[in-house]
This record gives sequence, C-alpha cells and structure tokens, in this order.
Amino acid sequence: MRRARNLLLTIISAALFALFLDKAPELLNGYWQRILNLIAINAILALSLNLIYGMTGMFSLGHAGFMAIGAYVSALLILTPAQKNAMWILEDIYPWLLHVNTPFIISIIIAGLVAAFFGWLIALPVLRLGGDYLGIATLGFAEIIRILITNTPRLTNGSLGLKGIPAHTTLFMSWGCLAIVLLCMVCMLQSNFGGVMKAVRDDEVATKMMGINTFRVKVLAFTLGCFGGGLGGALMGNLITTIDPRMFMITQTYNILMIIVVGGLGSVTGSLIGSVLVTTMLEWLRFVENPITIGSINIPGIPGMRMVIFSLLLIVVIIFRREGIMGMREFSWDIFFPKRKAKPKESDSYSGPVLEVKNLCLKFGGLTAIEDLSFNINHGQIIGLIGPNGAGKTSAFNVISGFYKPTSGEIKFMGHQIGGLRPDQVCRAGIARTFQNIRLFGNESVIRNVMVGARIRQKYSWWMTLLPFIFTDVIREDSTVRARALEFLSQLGLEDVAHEKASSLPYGAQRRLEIARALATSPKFLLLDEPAAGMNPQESEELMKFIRRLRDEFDLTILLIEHDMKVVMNVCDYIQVLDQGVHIAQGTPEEIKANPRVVEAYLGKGAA
Amino acid sequence: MRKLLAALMLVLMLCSVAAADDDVIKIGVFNCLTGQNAFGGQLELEGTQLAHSLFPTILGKKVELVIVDNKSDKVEAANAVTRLIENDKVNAIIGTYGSSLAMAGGEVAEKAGIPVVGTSCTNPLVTLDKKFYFRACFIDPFQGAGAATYAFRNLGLKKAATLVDMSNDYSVGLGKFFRDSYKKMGGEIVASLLYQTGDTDFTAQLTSLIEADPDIVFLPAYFAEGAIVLKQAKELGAKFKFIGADAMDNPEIVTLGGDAVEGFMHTTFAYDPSMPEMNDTAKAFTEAWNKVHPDKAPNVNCALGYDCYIMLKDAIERAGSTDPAKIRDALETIKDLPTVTGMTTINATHDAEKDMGIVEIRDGKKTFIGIVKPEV
Repeated sequence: MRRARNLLLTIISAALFALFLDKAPELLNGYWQRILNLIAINAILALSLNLIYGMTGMFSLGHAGFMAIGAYVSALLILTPAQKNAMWILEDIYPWLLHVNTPFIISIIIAGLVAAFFGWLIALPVLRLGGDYLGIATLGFAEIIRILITNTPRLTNGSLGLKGIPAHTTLFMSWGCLAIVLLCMVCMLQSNFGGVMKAVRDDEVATKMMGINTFRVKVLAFTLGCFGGGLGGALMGNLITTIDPRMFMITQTYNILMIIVVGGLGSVTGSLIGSVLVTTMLEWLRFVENPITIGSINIPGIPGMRMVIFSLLLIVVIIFRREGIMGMREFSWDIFFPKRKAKPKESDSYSGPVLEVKNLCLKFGGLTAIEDLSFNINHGQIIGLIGPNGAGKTSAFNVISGFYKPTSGEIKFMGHQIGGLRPDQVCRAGIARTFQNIRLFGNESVIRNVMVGARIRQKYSWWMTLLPFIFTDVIREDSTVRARALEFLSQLGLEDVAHEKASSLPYGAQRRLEIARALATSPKFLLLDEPAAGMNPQESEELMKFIRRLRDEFDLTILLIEHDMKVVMNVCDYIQVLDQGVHIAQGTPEEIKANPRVVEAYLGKGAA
Repeated sequence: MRKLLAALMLVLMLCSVAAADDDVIKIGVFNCLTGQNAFGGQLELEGTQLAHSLFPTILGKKVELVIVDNKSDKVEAANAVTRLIENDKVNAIIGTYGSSLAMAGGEVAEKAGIPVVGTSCTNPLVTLDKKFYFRACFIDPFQGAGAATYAFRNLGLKKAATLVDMSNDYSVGLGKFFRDSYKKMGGEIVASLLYQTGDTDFTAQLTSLIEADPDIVFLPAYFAEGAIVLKQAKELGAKFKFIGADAMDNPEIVTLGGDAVEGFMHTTFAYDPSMPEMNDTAKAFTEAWNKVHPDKAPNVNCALGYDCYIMLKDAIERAGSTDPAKIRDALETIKDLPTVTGMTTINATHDAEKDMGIVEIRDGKKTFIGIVKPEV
C-alpha cells in the first residue's frame, strides 16, 4: 500500500516534470534552460561518482578523465567529415576517423561504453589499492588521459580542441538520461546487490566472509560509475558544443566531488540536491559581482566575489552538517504523510477477557429478544451458547456481529466497545462469523468465496488493480491470498472442489466453506452458528476435532451455537444457556448437565 | 541557522533586481576576470571601460556595459554569454581572452544572433563558420608567419627552432604556422621541441636546442613559462636569439625577467606606449590611460579591449540602429577604421587585418622596433 502510493506519487511528479520540460521553452529563457541542462548533467556526473565513492567507498579522483573520454568519443562520432577536415589544421586527421559518423544517441551510448571500458581497464590493477592510494592513482590516470588527448592531434586535434559539435543536449535529452540513470541506480541500490555494495563500503572483510568476491563488486561499481562519467561528459560536450583537453582538469573532478559532499556521500537524493544547489547558486550569485546599490550605498562589483561567497556557504554547510545535506538518508514520500501509529498488538498486550457482554438487552418494539445478558469469554476458550429455539442465541450473535444495535448494555471486544458498530467494522476489529442459514456467494467458485474473505487484510487499493503490472503488489498479494485460501480449503477437505460453483456443493461442504471463508478474514474471535447442522455423526466427529485445531492453530477464541449436544459437551470449555432471552445458566459441561433448570428448559430429563 | 540563511538569501535576491531602461544601448562584456587567464582578461576589461568612459553615448543613447566573469572556464563562458543575451538583453558583446572560451560563448551568440567582437582570441576556429563572431585581433597563422618573416627577411636568420607548449592551442598553432612559413621562405627548422603548461624545468629542451644550434628560437609561450625559459636559457649560456608572440606582451616583463629578457623580441599588435609614431587614436588612448592608471603602462590587451568598443561604436553608428542584425552587417564592412592597434579591416573570415609590430627589450625597456607585413 505504502509502496504503491509512493510509486504513484513518483510517477505523477515525473509526469508533471516532463510536462514542465515540454513547456520550458515557453516558460524559461535560454539562460535558465541552459542551467536546467547543466543541473541534469551535473546530477548524472554526481550520481556516477557517488556510486563509486559514496556507495562502494572507493575514493576516486579520476572522473574528469572519464568525462574527457566520453566527450571526445561522442564528439568524434557525430562531427561531419567536412567539419573534421576544416578543424584538423595542424595535422591531418586519421583517414578512418574522418568518415565515422553516428547518430547522437548512439554516440553517447558508445561514449559511456568506451569510458566504462577504460574504467574497467584501470580498475583491475588500481582497485587492489585502497583509500588514499586509490585516489592518487585515479588522479594520475585522469591526467594521463588528458595528456594523451593533447598529444594525439591526429586523433583528437590536440590542444586546439573540437568545436561545432551540434547542440544535441536538449532538456529532454539531458533529463531523460538522468531519469534513466536515476531509475537504474535506485533499482540497483534497493536490490540486495545494492546492499552488498554498501556492505563493501562499510566492512570489506566481513563482506568477504559472506562469500562475496568484493573485488568483483568494486570493479563492477567502478566500471558502472565510469559509464556515467562518460555519458555526462558526452552530454556536456554536446551542450557547450566545443571541447578541449583543458576543460577536463582536476578542478572538474573537484566540482563533482563538491556536489556529492554537499549533498551527502552515499545518498542519491543528496547528489540531486547538490547538483541543483551548486549549479544554480554559482550562476545566481553572479549578481554580487555587479555593482550593487542598496539605498544610497554603492558597492562596486568585484570579480571573483561570488566564489568567495559560494565558498563561505560551502564552509557553513560543512560546519553545520558535516555529513552533507542529506547524509546517507534518502528522500521518501513518507515524510509528507504522518506516520500512522502502529496499533499495539492487542492480543499480545491485552490480558482481560476477549469478549465482555454486560447487561445486554435487545428489544424489538414490545418483544424482548435478549434481556440482561452478561458473560465474559477469556482468550482461547471455546464457549457454547445453547438453549431452545427462540431463546435468543442467534439474536445474541447478531448483536455481537453488528447486525443489530443493542437496546442497552455493553459489548466489549478486547477491551474496546463494539456495541453498535457496523458489521464490516466488527469484522475489521477481528470478529468473524458463519450463518445458521448458509450465506455463500453461490455463483462464485469455492476458492473465490474464501478469497473475498481475505480482502480486508489486503493492502492494495482498488485503483492499483487497473494496472497490476505496474503495481505488482496486486499480483503478489492476490497470489498469497490464493495460496492461503487453498490451504484453508484443504484443511476443511474442500481442495478438490476449489473451482466448483459454491452453490453446487452439498450442504455439509457448504457449511465448511463458510467456516473457511470466515477464517480467511484472519479473525481473533469466531462465531459459529450451528456448524454441525446437517452433518452426519462422522462428520460431526471431524468437526469437533477441527474446531479444537482451529483454536490451537489460529489462536482463536470461539463462540458456538449448537444443538448437537455431543458436539457441545465434547468441544466446549464453558457453556452459556439462554431461554426466552434470559440467561439461565453458565458453567462447565458437567455443571450444565447437572443443572436442573437447564435440564428442565432445554436438555430434557433423558439427556442427563 | 536555516532561517538566518533564508533571510540572507532573500536580501541578496532583492538586491539583484535591477531596473530596466529602454533608452540605453547595452554592451555585454564577458571576459576572464578570475581564473588562470585573469591577468589578460582584466587588462582587456580596463581597456573597454576606458573606451566607454571616453564615449559614453552612441547615437545619442547612453551605453551601459554589462560585465560578466567567465572564470577562464568553458562551461562558465557559455553560461555567461547566455546570461548576457537572455537576462540582460544586450545588443552586442565584447570578449574574450582565450580562444576556447570564445568558442564556447560564440556558439550561444551565433544561435541567438547577437554580434560578438573578440578581443584577443586568436585561434582560427573561433570565427570559422560563424556569422556573428568578429575579432579585433589577427589570427595565429598570421602572427606565426609574421614572426617567421621578421626572422628570415628582416634579421636574415636562416636556421630556426620552435619551443611549443603542447597543451596550449595558441602555442601549438603559432608554432606550426611559424615553421610552415619559415620553410616556405627557404629557412631551415633545426628542432621543434615541446613542453607542457605548468612546467618549470626546461633544461632538457634548452640543452637540445643548444646542440641543434639555431640562429633563433620561436617561443610562442605564455608569460609564466616564457619568463622561466628565458631565465634558464641565459643560465645555460644559450647563444641564439628568442622571438615570442603577443602572449609575451606583458607590462611587467622587464621587472619580472630582469636581464634574462634583454634582447628578447616578440611580435605584437602595432601598438606600444614606446612607439615613436602613434596614430591619433593611439595617442588619445595612451593619454586617457595614463590619466586613469598613472601607475601602470598600457599593453596590447588594453588596446584590444579599447578597440573592440571602437569597432562596435563605428558599426552601430554606421548602421544607425541598435538592432543586433544590423550591427552585425555593419561590423562585416569595417574598412580602414583607425584603432589603437593600427588601421583595422575586417576580412572575409571576420578576422582583423592590421599591421603587426615587433617589440624588443633593449636596455631594460620595451622598445617598438618596427612593423612587419607577414608573408602567409
């Protein structure tokens, strides 16, 4: 339920954001569109570095190198031969490279893959190191990449750089890529494999003892992170439309590092918040470099002022929140919903009588059905309610289960007043019943009857059933309920007829089906109205065993109306006797059998 | 704490709201005011601001300079230009030092159709296929050929070598065009050696150069590395001459380089405060500069920053309009416009064609020794 709600909210907000991006060209000027683009690209870069550093605990300073690889691969793949000929003015481009040309999407995927390949290559030797050594090694690697690019002019045009890269990075492209990266990353981190990565970060030795090849996990995380670096670099190149090796110096890595540290190491949400904050703040703070007039005071613009203020803000963040804005926490929709206080499990803590009936009266006009009925039932007891026809037994059931409102008096279930509640409320409270005159859903299959009983314990909402393949809770819960229903049916000997129409069952089987259906509501208290009616002696024998088993296995308390004295006397721990709406006796079966009033009113002299 | 921060932000945000005015011409300036190229960017900005203070109105309208920093960073450069165009709605833009920054910003301006006049972005790719990008400077091939022409024709030196910063597009480009042009004229290139930005030890390259024994070494370096090269060359007793390019044009070269820079030559734009015969524009510029900055001499970056403003002023006046498209058309037809760095003509590739100057450090002073017509 909670998961489905959150999923729905996520989908709705994603759709709203997509709508916003769609309208962005009209709503926002090019400047803000560019910043939005930068936010997305920075977020991709931050997420990928966070995967390496925050999630798996590998301190890597090589991200700028992987960005460079991605940016160059993508640019080289999409520039036209004519552009390449015009740009390689120092040395000729390699002939094979001149005519390579792919669409943008393919180029950024290849860019990511090439970066990932280099990442994998470097990971194999370097990840044997740890901590600071790894940082230095990756830092060196990034420098090597940059120097290689500078010194292979036939391949990369050297330090002249490339320009005229078509501006393919639109808002949808950058945010689309971010959405995919985000989705994949969240899914992976929520899986048990994500847990393994964090375990490697927190205690590598212990993770090894769990039978996990931690080196492989680290190589994998590093390679995936490098893919993100390459992708981000490619998008960046296509946004700026010109790249050169000096763009990818160590400061570029520091920028990304700054984002994830401010946002929170190891938090996906933090990386997103960090990207938004760092990107917009840097641009927004530009005004401090312009002359400012506050009232009559004129402050001349000082270039570089915004970096001073920005750095001060960073210091403030780190002083007051050393672990970053989010720490390792993640955003959850739950924060918008007050936590429903989990109800204390009453059966665990509640020790009083399960059911207390006190001075209960039920009158229909002048007719008194029940008069001043009082009794308590303790947990785990099986109580018989007996009396001649018209004694008010079924009326008592109907009052307890909410079909009638008591005229006066109290009914307490687990200490809570339930007198006057609607039947469905009573059922939710944990009381289930069967009917004297069987009430099955005749046209439905046997198993469906039982499954309906389980509906109130299911958590999904109706609208999720419209899209069960998105809200997989529906499928999962239904299959659980089906399995449990089959279990009930087999316990009651009905598994063979599970898919028959309920009305086609013989009378005895229908009775048992009613019990199964009642059990499916997971009650704490079960009211059985003449369960043995219409059963032959052998069946009643089995029913008795079954009722005892029900109590023991399901931890139930059972109130039973029955005319079959054999059943009543054998099964019940305690018996209440009604006559003409009046409570005439209570006691153990032996006491009841010996009670002259009962014998006179109901059992008849022969029975005793 | 959080409330305090929020309040602070609110105050800052309110301050940032600027009043809009229709009757002004807005000229955006994006340049490197911080970061590794800040030195050049600052000088250019000061030049532009000087021109603005001398000519605060064009077509009778007030001109407002909107200045943004690009932090010597490509991403920031693109952001800065977008901001100028979209938020500040500028009519034209001036900038920047650093060709890669100009390329990043140029793409944005091209799409928006706002004309840009580049100050000292000399990479040929900056204006390649661009309708809206112009520049006040000449380009790398022109300057490389200029140094070669001066060395071969004027000095009569037949053996040359190059020492190039491999990681710098400017340096690599100049080195290549120097060699091409020198060889074409009949000279011999005896060595071409490389280094990287940030290197501090050049003894290996210098030893190889001493062995190769050229008459002259072309050093298209930035000042930081160039000064060390010159110093170490003197220490090693190198006999050959050095010729550099405009990136070595720094007012403090003598103070920083001492006697190691004595005899060092570099190509530059045809302006130097030490020029014997200045045109009127240059005279006006020098006078005004000395008044505003009495403690430092102007250099070519200041002059180019100034010239960009003059070029825009000329274009807007001839166009008789502040419409960006019309300014662009007028920029394209600039011909023999008197600017600080000589007569400026915009050619078909939007580069400025102008004379090239040669400066030599003589007796601890930058001395303008002549003008050269490069054989490209």
